[in-house]
Amino acid sequence: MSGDGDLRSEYLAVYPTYERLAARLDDLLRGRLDAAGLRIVEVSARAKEPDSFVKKALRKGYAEPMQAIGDKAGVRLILPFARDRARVVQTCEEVLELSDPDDKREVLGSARIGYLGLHYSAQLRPQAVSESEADLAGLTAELQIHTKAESAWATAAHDSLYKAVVDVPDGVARRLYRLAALAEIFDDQIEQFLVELHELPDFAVLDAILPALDRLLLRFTNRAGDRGLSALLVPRLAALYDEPPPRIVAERITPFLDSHEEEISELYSRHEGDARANPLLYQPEGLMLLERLDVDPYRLLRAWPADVDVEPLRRLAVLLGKRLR
Amino acid sequence: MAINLRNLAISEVVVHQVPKRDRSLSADAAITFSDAAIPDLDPTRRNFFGERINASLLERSFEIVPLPGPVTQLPPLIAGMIADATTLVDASKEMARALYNAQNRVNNPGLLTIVTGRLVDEPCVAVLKLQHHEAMQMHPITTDEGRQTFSATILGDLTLTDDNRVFKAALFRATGAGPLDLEGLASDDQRGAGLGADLADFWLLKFLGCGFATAPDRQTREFYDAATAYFDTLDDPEQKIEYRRALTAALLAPATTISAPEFSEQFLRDEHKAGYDQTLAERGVPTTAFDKDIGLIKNHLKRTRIITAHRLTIAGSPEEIEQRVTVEEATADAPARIIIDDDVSKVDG
Repeated sequence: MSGDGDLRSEYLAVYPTYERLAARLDDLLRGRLDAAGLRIVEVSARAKEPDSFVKKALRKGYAEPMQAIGDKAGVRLILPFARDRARVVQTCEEVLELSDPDDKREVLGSARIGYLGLHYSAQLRPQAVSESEADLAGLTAELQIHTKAESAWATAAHDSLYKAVVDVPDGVARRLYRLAALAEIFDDQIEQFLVELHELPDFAVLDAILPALDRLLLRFTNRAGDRGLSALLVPRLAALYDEPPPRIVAERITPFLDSHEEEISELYSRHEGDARANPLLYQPEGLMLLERLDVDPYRLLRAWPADVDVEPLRRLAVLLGKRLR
Repeated sequence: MAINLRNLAISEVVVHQVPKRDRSLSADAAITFSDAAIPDLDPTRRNFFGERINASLLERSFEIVPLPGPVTQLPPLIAGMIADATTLVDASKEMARALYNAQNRVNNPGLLTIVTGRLVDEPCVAVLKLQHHEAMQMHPITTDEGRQTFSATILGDLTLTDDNRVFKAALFRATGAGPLDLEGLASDDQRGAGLGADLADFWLLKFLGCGFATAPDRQTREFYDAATAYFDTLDDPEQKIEYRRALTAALLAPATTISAPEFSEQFLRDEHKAGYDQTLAERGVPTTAFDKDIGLIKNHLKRTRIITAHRLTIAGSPEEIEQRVTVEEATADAPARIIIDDDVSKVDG
């Protein structure tokens, strides 16, 4: 094993490269997760500080610390919901070669509680490495995936238990470990809540359509619509399509907007500053209305809820050069 | 190509008050002219004008083109305005004079409103004749005795309201650089309303100097052919007969005009409307109204023929077919049946 000074020097020589690797991973994963509709995931990346590297090498007693320490660069992804974990991993795999999966839940087994999370060794895939950063190819980083609850517990434990300057008596440490159980229960309860939420009438339809429409509406306006009205209209409108709800936006609305981009942009810009602008223009489902008015206005009119004023729909049709009879 | 009203954007609006014709007053003495466009037209007011023009033309309009001659000054003035929007005020004054001089004592006074704008990326001009409307305005008030009630005020000078159609409207775009190279849409609540020809033709012919883009007999035949072609695509024979009968009745009715969307609204089931629209659009039948002339199809309208899958033919007047022939749809167990409720009077061949 090298002396402390040699080890520090050796690590300092590669440290800037790992800093660039961390920055690249941060940027790359943010972009990918955003594109996959996982903007809610928090991303943080760092290169291991030289002091921490040396301390870890000494603490663990590695013979070849430069090879043995896998988290010289590390990325942490924090998810609001455990159910997104598989999608997040899948998205990461588009740009990263993941190996050595380490699911802490499996390690703990059934009778122990403690640190939870999913760790991988990660390397940039060749297509994610540009010519100017060729030296990053083949370098290994550690990818950690936690829920918010797991992260909260891990942070508290790391800062108070593992960094404690004295040996913490079991009775005191136990207070912290009892909280780990709460973190698990928190995630399970959230998951059960989400399952039941999705079973509520119309929720699945709204959940499959509204977030995507929200994003599309930003192409034309920043004004936000009324969620209560969306809850009334979206299920009715979804029933007018042959496609199941999760496919409606991708297969019908987005192509329609792409082919009418200029016209619809002009429609929205003409109503910028119009005090009596049609409120349906600012509803996310307004984009579905524009598409349906173009394709089948008769069924749209028939599907309109009896307790929602139809006049704004008629006025919207007039803007598109159509009269709803 | 028919004008598509989607994305009408308004630029400027000029208004002139044109009173009832008084032969003792010249146009310049009678008309209250504007010397400038409406100032500070913000997006709210621009869009209000645009929506009302669209609503009026979508309600019931005709495809029009300038008559050769020209028969009035309007087409060259409009073409000039489309080519150079800075002529708006001066040219619109000429239009106001033309309107005043073309009117007689029975024509109502109104506000001649000339609008420049764009249809997607093409300049266009709209010509409107607006009239005053009355409405009652009510506001919550407290009486001197402290009681809560409502005030009721008659407003007699409303011009363009959200509920009323524009009284008469036309919208033009250029088809070339010449003074008559225009096409347009016109709406007139008096056309087709059974009024005298003079009154009905006033707006279109005597003022705008325009006629229908397609001869009424040809347009009527194109509509008939397209509608029957769509009916023939339907599976239900009873439905085909019902629709054909409705079409014949609409074409033979006393009304002088007809419109494809109004026919659809009145007679077609909702599930058939989109297919009907599509067939008519593919065959270039306009969604506007047109003057009815059954000259080219009257033989078709006199007789209805039912031809069966085995090439048997049943023919007769639409009334006789409706009264005496019943078609029962095929079921899983039995083919369709045609029942003729009549006596055999003669067999040939």
